[in-house]
Amino acid sequence: MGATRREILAMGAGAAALGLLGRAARAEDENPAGAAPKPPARRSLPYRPVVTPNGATLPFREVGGAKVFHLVAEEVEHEFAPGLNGHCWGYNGRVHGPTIEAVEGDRVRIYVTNRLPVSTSVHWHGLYVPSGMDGVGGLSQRPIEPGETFKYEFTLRQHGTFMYHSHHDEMVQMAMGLMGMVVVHPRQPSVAPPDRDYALLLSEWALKPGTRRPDPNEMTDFNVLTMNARVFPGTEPLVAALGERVRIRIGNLSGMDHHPIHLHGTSFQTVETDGGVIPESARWPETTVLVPTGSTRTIEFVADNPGDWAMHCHMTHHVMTQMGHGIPNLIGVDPSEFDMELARHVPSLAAMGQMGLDDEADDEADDEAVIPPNSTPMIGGDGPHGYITMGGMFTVVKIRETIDDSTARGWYRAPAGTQADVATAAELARDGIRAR
Amino acid sequence: MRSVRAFSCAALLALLVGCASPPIQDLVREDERASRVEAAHRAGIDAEAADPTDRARVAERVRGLLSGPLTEEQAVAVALVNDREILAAYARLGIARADVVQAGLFTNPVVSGNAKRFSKGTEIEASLVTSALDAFLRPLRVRVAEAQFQDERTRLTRELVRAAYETRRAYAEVVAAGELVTLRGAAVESAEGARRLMKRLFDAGNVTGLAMAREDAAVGRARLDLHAAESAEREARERLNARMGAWGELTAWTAAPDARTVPPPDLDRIESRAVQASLDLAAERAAVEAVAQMAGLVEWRGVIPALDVGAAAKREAGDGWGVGPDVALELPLFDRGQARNAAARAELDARLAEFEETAVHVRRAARVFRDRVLTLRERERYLRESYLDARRRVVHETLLVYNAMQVGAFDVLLARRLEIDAQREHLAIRHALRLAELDVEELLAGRLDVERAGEFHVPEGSSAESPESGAGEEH
Repeated sequence: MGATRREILAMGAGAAALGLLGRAARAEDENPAGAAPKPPARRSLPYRPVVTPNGATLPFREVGGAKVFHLVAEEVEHEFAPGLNGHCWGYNGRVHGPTIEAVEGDRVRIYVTNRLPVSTSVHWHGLYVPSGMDGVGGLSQRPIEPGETFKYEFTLRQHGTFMYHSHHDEMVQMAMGLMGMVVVHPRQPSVAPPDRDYALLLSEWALKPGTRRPDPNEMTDFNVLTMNARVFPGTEPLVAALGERVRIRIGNLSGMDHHPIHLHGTSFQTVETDGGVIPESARWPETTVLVPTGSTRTIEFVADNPGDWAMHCHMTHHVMTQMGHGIPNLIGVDPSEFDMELARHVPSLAAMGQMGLDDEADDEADDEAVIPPNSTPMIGGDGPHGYITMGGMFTVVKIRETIDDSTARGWYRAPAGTQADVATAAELARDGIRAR
Repeated sequence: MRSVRAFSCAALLALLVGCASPPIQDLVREDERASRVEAAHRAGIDAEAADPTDRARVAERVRGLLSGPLTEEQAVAVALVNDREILAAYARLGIARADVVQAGLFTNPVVSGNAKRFSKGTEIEASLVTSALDAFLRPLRVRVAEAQFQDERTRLTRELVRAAYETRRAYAEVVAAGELVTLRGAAVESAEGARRLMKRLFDAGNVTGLAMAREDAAVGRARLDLHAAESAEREARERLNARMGAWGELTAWTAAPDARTVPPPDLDRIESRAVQASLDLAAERAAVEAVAQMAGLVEWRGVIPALDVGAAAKREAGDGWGVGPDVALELPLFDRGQARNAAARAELDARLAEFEETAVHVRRAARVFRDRVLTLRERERYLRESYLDARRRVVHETLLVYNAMQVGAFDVLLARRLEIDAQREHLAIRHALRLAELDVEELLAGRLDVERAGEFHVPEGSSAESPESGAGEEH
């Protein structure tokens, strides 16, 4: 059950300024977004397929030695998290578009059909393509008019993690979601493929509570920050078995922000950018990788520490969803006094059940009445030890000794002695801690 | 013998004239009642309750009405028995009635006589003379007085209507002023609530002194507005007190408007209906009639300035009585009444022109009042159905985004204050509409207040989003 507004405000220092309403959180009883992990590899392919959490891989056909893909740019009704939808633009019914996956040296032919009400184009970000295939509207090509289908064809001359996105009226079309990942596997890998290969595309949106269409005009106040176009608790966790080598390809096509992505519980190395492989001698261990907008970073680590590990942008406002920035700083005051005062002047406030009088009432029904439609002004979702006060650009990496279909939905159980809890009086006395 | 008969006839005539009509007081009371009934019919008032005759009963009833919750009709009833101008109009009607009676009386005959003692005996002369012209012109004179009486009766009816509608207007002012005080009070409450919250934030070190000062200023503004509204309410009460002739402890009444909705006045064919109903025009018509009758009288007076007839008797000393007629006729050789005639005709022309001018005023006022009511009705409807509803929704939606923590408490209070402001605007328009409808009703009841048909200020809308209205900035 979600926390009430009062409870969230009562959380204190951080929470009071968060601008989120726990009551609205529709956290599931089980672990959020718990889809089963995909098989590690498909033996029929000469590579270990990448997994795009909450996403999909674009299918292709081989025609005359070329891999033929078909992207359809169109309006898509997209769910960022349960309770939060948007009229977005995407490809093939998805936001973001499906991941294009191929192998270095492949000849790819990508048809792009424009079913949008506006002209568009597709840029293959980071790929070495002929100038005429680069997809910059007006520069490389004329824009694809509504109803037209353009053909892009080139040979993949490199491997790594790349992206595709609209390069026509970019500010609007990228803010509306027209983007996706491109993964090119090496034809002759110099190292063994990782056991787990994930792709995450970071982006940001302006979607005010009560609205349904992202606002491309926003320049600074992005309030929906997504991994693969989802916000926590709508993000699928990344699962790995103990000892597996995990690769996470992170692209960033946010309109205005870079994102320092922090992984808990281990350290990793950044092995590639969209510019190519980083020589081993140039890598260093780190726990946070800054992913500038318009670039990709591929990190690798060995899953050597079992647990549920947070992975998130370390900019604190980026782990909020639909946070309001127009509220006063309430730290140091009793927020309930504000509700009480308001209820004196606006009786309907009390009727909305914001006074904490009917916290036990049917939350679902109340949610409809007390906050604007299509909004999840929330901190996060329920976790195994209470409410997780992070949302937005946040997901969980689940490392277990063994994994199965239920791993993504379940929570890690800390072995005895490895779980933080209230210190006993005896412990405090033993160590000379005076808590009061 | 003949002289004795003549004296007897004159005495009998005098007696008849004196006794043929009922006492003047009874006539006057009947006249007053007729005026009240007519005014009651026109202005929707209680004729019986408006009877000021029995002052003791009136005082008791007034005390009773003013000690409890006061409805508009009760205020009107009080005003109609206490309004000094009405009492003066009643008195003037009495004068006019007396004038009518006076006009019907024959001029008293003049009896004169003298006796002279001579050595042969005593000579006695006696005469009884009365103005034959007065008797001849009596019907004409009575018609002049009747016309003047009708004029006064119309004036009384008009005074009753005037008092009724001035009281209704004053009552509406009191009610509107009271509602404004309530709304201003709510605005003060809201501003003080915002200040209390801001003070908490300020004490916690979360907002600037500027933010605090702005809330202080907003409270100050709201309190000043409340103070002005309270002052205006007191003045409105005093205006109604003046209408009702209330003073001392009788001024402690509380207005309790009748919750029943009054059907709005029918605006159909208002011009012709207003002309038909106009007491002003009726008064002007009566005045024209009176002047016309007066002109006829003056004309006759020009032909025969004076004609006295009578009988004279004389007894010479030592002789018997000699009796004969006595006639005195003023010869209109020089003063044939030319100047008076001309003046009377000019007066008639002037009155006719005034009558026509009044008719033009009444028609114009009918159009002006009708258009005013239509305009205000439309505006009131729009305010109620659209703007107020939108303001209510702004409050509701602000609450939703407040709950979603997109905005703070001050935004909610600001939305509430803007809603109050919209309610204030609606109140102003409702009040203006009520006054405009009263103007229409008064016009159709027969009285035109020319000044009210003059310039009219529809209350302005408001854009109350003042920078001091709290919060949302410079925390």
